[in-house]
Amino acid sequence: MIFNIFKIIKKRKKRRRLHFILDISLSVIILLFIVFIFTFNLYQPSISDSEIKSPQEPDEPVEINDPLEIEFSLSSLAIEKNSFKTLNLNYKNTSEDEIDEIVVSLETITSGFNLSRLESDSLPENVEINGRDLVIENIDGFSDEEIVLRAYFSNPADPLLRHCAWRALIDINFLDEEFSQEYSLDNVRFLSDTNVTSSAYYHSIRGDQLGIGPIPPIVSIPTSYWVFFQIDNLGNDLSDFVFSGQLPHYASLGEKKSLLAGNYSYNPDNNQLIWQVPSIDKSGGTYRAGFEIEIIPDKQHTGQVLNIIENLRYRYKDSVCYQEKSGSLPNLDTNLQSDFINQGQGTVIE
Amino acid sequence: MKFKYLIFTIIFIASFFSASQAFAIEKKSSYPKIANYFLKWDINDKEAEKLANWDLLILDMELSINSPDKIKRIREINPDVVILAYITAQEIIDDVYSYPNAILRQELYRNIDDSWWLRDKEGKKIVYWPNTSMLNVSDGAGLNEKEERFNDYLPQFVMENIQSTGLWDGVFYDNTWGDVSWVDRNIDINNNRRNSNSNHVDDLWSGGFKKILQRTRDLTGDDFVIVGNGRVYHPYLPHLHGMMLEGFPSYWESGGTWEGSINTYLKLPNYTRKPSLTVINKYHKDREDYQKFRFGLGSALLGDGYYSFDYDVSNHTQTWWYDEYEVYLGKSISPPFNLLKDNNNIEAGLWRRDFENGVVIVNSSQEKQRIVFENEVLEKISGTQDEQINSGEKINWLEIEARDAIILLKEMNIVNDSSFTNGEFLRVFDSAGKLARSGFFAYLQGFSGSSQILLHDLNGNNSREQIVSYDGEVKVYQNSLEILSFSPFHHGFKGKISIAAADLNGNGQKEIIVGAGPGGGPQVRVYNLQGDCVSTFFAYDKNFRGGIDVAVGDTNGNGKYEIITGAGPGGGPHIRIFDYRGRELSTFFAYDKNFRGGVNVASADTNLNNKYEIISGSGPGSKAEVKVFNDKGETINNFLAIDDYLKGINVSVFDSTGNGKAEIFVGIKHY
Repeated sequence: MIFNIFKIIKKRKKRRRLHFILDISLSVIILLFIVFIFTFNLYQPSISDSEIKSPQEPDEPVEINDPLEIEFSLSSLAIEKNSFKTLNLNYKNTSEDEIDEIVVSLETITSGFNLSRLESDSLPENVEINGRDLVIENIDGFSDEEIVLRAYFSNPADPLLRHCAWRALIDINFLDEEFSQEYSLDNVRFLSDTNVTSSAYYHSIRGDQLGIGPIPPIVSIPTSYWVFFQIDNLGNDLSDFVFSGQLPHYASLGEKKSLLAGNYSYNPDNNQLIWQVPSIDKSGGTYRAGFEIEIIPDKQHTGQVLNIIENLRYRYKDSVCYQEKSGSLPNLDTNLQSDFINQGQGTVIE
Repeated sequence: MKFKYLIFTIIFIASFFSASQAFAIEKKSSYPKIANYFLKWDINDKEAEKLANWDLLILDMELSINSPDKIKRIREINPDVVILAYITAQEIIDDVYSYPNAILRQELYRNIDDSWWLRDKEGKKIVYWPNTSMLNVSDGAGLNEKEERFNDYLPQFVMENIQSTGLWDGVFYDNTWGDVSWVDRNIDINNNRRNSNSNHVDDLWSGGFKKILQRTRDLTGDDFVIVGNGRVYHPYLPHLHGMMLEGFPSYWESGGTWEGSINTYLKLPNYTRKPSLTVINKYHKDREDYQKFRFGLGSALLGDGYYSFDYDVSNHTQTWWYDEYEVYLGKSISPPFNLLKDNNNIEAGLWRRDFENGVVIVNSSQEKQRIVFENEVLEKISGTQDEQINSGEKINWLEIEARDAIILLKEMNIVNDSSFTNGEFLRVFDSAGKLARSGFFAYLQGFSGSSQILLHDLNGNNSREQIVSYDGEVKVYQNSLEILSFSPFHHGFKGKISIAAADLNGNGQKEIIVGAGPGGGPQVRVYNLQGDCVSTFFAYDKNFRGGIDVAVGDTNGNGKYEIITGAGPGGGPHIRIFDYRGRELSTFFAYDKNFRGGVNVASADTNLNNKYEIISGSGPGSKAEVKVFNDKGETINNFLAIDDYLKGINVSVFDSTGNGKAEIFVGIKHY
């Protein structure tokens, strides 16, 4: 019973609060209405004749947004000069209506560089490349596509210019409206221009005798050749250049060397010869090592052209692009490809 | 009293003169030693100048009268030459008065007593050589009115007509035979119209000849050279300085074989007076039979004698010059040894003898021989006559024909006393610009490539220290230990530093002279061996940043070293010479003054004129031209070191053979 009485009292209290809120709201409305009437009566318009236009039907307020979502992705790896940067282009039409006349223009910002051309192996039918522009005829509503492009850059006159800033400008036509977008692309970094070579000589290019012993090689008589390793570099500083090669069992490292840079080591256990240069300047210079290698053919080598050094490999780091490069070179043999005087005289005789 | 003093003075001067002559004879210790048997009765200027190239000359005695000025001229050009007067000891030409230029022969002939002719039992004069008559050298000959025999008169004649002129170092007695009976069976040696027993003839003959030699020695003194010619007769040898082995190997000598003659040749110095002046003469009508020439020369080089090569026994008037004569082998460092045998018995074989700068190989066997030089690289000489043999090629093996010989040089692979760039390829030229030796990579292990290296005895300990500049620092090493280090320029400078060394101020201590390379200022700094800078000056405008190259040399022959600078890239090819304190002594442009590739310099005496020449090399951008200047900047010579090469050259100089003339080393990075 007591419980019911409390319930009745609680209900009444709730009702009373509701009425109170309604009363307050009504009072505020009446007050606002009085303020409005009062303000309206105070208003005295003064419009000049020139501002008076003939009455028009008001436009429907339609807002059209650029429906193209576009994304560019590039690998972080630096590229070599005369090579290309691979560019993945993902685009998506976010509206139900078709987008027309999409032009994606790529251009360099760093002066000295030029984007020479674009290439792609597989373009959709409605897409074509026009110089440095990618032209997409239309994109259907709610459709998307991915295109892989190769962007080629022309070499700047300054060989030490190795970073290129660039961007993409996108123009589209959508529902008869034109939209433009601009994307900054990650800088393209160019690897240093390097050329690692190896060669073997008996006579130098200028005809000076370097090697010693019979040419062609004769069984049991030592013939020494000179092998040269060289790295030419222009562009970026390089570090930790290592060049290695292996001498065949019938060959031995001679006493004479000529290192214009770096240092060498030779492990007689595995016949491995290593030339190392800790740092290589970006502006060039002569980085070369020459070694005398002696071979003593035995009878079983008769009639053969013998390798002087094998397994030629190299690696280095491009200090600017933080990228390691490596490679291998062909074996050098007694036929002396580079030696114009003794070329082809490598077959062992008795 | 005064007379005594005069005599004493004369004796003193005479003994000094004799001693100096003996010294001149001793002086030739390097090989090959070459002789010319040149028997014209008068010679012209051209011949005199050519003959001055030989070490030993046997010239006809008539030159005393006909060409004494030419003998003096020869000595002027070659003060060390030994000149002997040729005279036949046992014969004289018959029609001597029909030769107006045979004054001495006429004098000799005039004094010959009729009893001195060698005759047969019928009184006929004995003839050995056409148009001559033989003289009786024995005591069997008659006496003249002075109670003299020919063996008395001839030494007197030599003393009065040859030695007294002061033109000659000695006499060359031709035909110093130990016997004579082989010439004619009917020799009347006792001058009694009887046929004498051949043993008796020969005994008397040799006794007479010995008397001639002994008397000549007595009259002319110990230092007057006496050399004989003919088959070697041992009893004569103590009186002689040597013998000529004419027509080597001659049929008359020691069985007519190579081994016989070479055995005699090698042993002769054991019996003759010192210094021994034995000569091997080989002749052949074809001057271009180089193999015959070499075989004779090689044989001579197995011993310590001289070598002569000419036309034949009837004509010794040639000035034939050979590539091999230009070689400077230095002193001998081994006896001859036979590569085919374990013993050194003198027999036909493959013989070798080592010298300071090379070796000689002689194949006296009858077969072609192959030699492989183990762990040894030798170099053929670079010549023009037998290009196959004298190809300048470096070898470690050799095939040599029978009866042939070859001179090989030790390999050259370093430059001393003039700085070089470590690792560069060096081409070697003589001062005339001829490629003198095979090129090589100059590289010292343990030092960075492209560092500047100077191997020079800084402290007089008879070994060369290593002065190395790299990365802005100069370091000096002795026996691989660093003994001095300094940074001559500001610490930020890491470029090339040019280095030279000499005792500039004459204080008995060497200084190190440095100049900053490209990127540095044109400052010359001189350091003592404690690393203190003792002198400094700017060689060019102090704002110039092309650097300089430095060298040192006594360019004006005043006995003091000067500093020579060449302007680096960016400046004109400007060479300047300064004294120790930086006072300019000379200045000139080495190349076109508009050339901006820089010039590098070296200095040495390249032509034995007792003054250092300045040698320049052009920097990048110009042809690889080497120039040789005197201290006035006058060009003495210029040549292209490499065809079609524009990358710049570096020059160094060094007398690699020790013959006094420096070679020019041209360094290139691009072999």
